[in-house]
Amino acid sequence: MRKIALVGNPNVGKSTLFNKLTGLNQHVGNYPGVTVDKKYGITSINGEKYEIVDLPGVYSINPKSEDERIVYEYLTKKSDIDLVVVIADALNLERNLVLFSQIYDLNLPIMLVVNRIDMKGASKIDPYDLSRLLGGIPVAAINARTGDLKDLKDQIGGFERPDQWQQFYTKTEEDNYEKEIEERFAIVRKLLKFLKKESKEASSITNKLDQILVHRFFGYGIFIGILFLIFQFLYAFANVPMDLIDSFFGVASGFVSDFLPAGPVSALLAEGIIPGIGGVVIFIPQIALLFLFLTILEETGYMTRAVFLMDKLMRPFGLHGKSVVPLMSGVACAIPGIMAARSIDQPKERLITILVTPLMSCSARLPVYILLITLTVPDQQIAGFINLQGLVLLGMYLLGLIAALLFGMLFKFILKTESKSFLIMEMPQYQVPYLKNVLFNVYEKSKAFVWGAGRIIIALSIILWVLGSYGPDSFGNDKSEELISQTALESSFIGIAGQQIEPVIEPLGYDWKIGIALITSFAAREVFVSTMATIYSIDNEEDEASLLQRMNQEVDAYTGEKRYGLATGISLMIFYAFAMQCMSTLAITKRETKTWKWPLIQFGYMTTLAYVSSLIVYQLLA
Amino acid sequence: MISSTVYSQKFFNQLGMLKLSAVKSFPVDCLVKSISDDELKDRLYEMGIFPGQSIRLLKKAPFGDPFMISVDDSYLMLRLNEADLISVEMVEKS
Ligand SMILES: Nc1nc2c(ncn2[C@@H]2O[C@H](COP(=O)(O)OP(=O)(O)O)[C@@H](O)[C@H]2O)c(=O)[nH]1
Ligand SMILES: [Mg+2]
Repeated sequence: MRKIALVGNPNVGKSTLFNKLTGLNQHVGNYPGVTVDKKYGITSINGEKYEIVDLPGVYSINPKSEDERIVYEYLTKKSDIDLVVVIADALNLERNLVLFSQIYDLNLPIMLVVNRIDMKGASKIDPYDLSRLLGGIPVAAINARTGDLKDLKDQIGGFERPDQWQQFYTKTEEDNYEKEIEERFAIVRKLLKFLKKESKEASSITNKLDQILVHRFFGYGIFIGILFLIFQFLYAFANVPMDLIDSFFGVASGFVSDFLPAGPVSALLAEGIIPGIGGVVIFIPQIALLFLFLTILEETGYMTRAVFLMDKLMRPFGLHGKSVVPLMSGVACAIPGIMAARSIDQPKERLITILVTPLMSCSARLPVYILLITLTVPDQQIAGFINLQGLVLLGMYLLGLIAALLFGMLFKFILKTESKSFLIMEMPQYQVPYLKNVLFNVYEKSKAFVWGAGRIIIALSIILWVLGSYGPDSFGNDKSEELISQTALESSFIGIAGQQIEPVIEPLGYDWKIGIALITSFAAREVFVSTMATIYSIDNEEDEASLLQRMNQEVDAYTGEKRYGLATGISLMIFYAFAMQCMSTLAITKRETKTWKWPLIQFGYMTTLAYVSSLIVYQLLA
Repeated sequence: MISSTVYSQKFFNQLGMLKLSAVKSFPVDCLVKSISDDELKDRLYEMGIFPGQSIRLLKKAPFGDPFMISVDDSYLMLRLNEADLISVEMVEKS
């Protein structure tokens, strides 16, 4: 199969063209040793199959950043590329052709595509003229969004290298890299002088919109409004499909356990595998919705304006203007938030964002907070009108935010980077989002989650289920006919572990029952509630009232005081606010950072933070 | 507004050259005079910011950082740190 590489500046429409050519026939792979995903796909052009690689967007092939290193190595070390397609933006041909000239000088089979010719302000060039000036290499002018790609495909299909090849620029002894760039700009400028026939009329809409959208008051007002709307929609629209998914997998489990003969296989399917898959699928509505909105914001060009507004405010915390989005979406769920950090091109700021996003109070913590607040915080008014319980809940959310910012600051000092942090970013013109790109991105992100993190999540949930359903006396038990039999949660491996850790968690005000819940919560934090229900033998999980009663009656065996007093309640809430108790988040951190190092660090620092702060709080309050 | 322009103009007359980060009036056209030695120098060059190029300072973000500039046909945003590396001469409006 012939191989084609797409190269170009960021934002010139590489991915749009890539999507157009490959459709859903695309995959994500790895470049050895780096965190950037490799996107490749198959297309057929005039009856022949081609493999296309969508390389990261770069401004040069002089390797300074990870992206540039990938492109440079891909172009110079791989000898099997049949065609390099350089995509240039018709809105800024000059700088785009400088990159083209660098790649041209590598003496590879190359062609040029001038994209976005439909935009207002685009250079009107004749591809034929440009091709002649470039020594006969094929040139196509296209609109990757809605245009006809037949001419481009014909040129790819019938590609032949021109006989002559003359270097754009030859490095002399005394030339340094800066000189080279200046020279290349000069050459490109000369070349363009031959072409430009019409003076371009730039769009003025962008300037007018910027007057409002980055305005010192309206700018922030609009930004907060947009964030607010997104999270309203996330809550309003994600819940329905999530409930449906939940009940679907519940019914499926019930079906399997009813129709398969009882035994380990049926139990594994009904209680291990099916809920495990359900635990992956349940995240898709949130991921899909968040990326729906985020891609729309990217596509319109607004996202860079948000960065412009927020960058200064986020920087003291080791974060980036773009970190606002991951942090905010962390309030719904850390998983799409961590995935959204991908758009941050500074490696250090992206990493910090990934590390601290799970400190934001996600929606899985809410049921735990509500149960514990109802149980331990008195329902009374402060100053006559402020409800104490509501205040505590708000406090938990603020606590998450503050911890995220403080730890961002801390990581900023601890983490070392090879290059210093900077921001030189293009701000594209505003335009109407392209629905196809939006849907592609939603699809791609959901798929990346399912394949990248889903397998780890399913594997871990099966392990958790086994450890929670079987214990030492499950094996060779003579009371039962079977070789292996399920056992109650208390006597399972997890149950035993929960009891074993009692001495460790006692200073935090917890007993072994809470210990068990802390371990099972690793599947998802809200499992705390159902674990408590199981331990207190509340048959109906939904019956929160009776669970509350049971927990309320629970007394400490030694002191005779209520087990769930204010001190334990607050200490436990703080533990849930800070501890990394979500294997799905760890799985996505692993996928996004491509190593187990960072999820382990995340687990370590968050759990330590949780333990220490709960310890202090309990000791102070008790 | 007027006074700040006058101030910058005076500054410019005295020194001939000033850092982009010190420009007080905008939007304003500038001519790049030099780029300080720094690991970001190459990157600025690649973006088309090097001596002899004209750039336009469009605005600053509400907290004074980052900057929005235009180079040739594209809009760029850079932080104060990056703007500090760029020495410019202001161009009188024709
Ligand atoms: N008007 C117009 N917009 C385009 C065209 N091609 C891409 N875009 C838009 O340009 C933006 C960047 O495109 P994308 O494919 O993500 O660029 P990449 O960074 O090179 O992969 C998106 O908002 C696209 O919808 C085009 O031919 N015409
Ligand atoms: Mg892309």
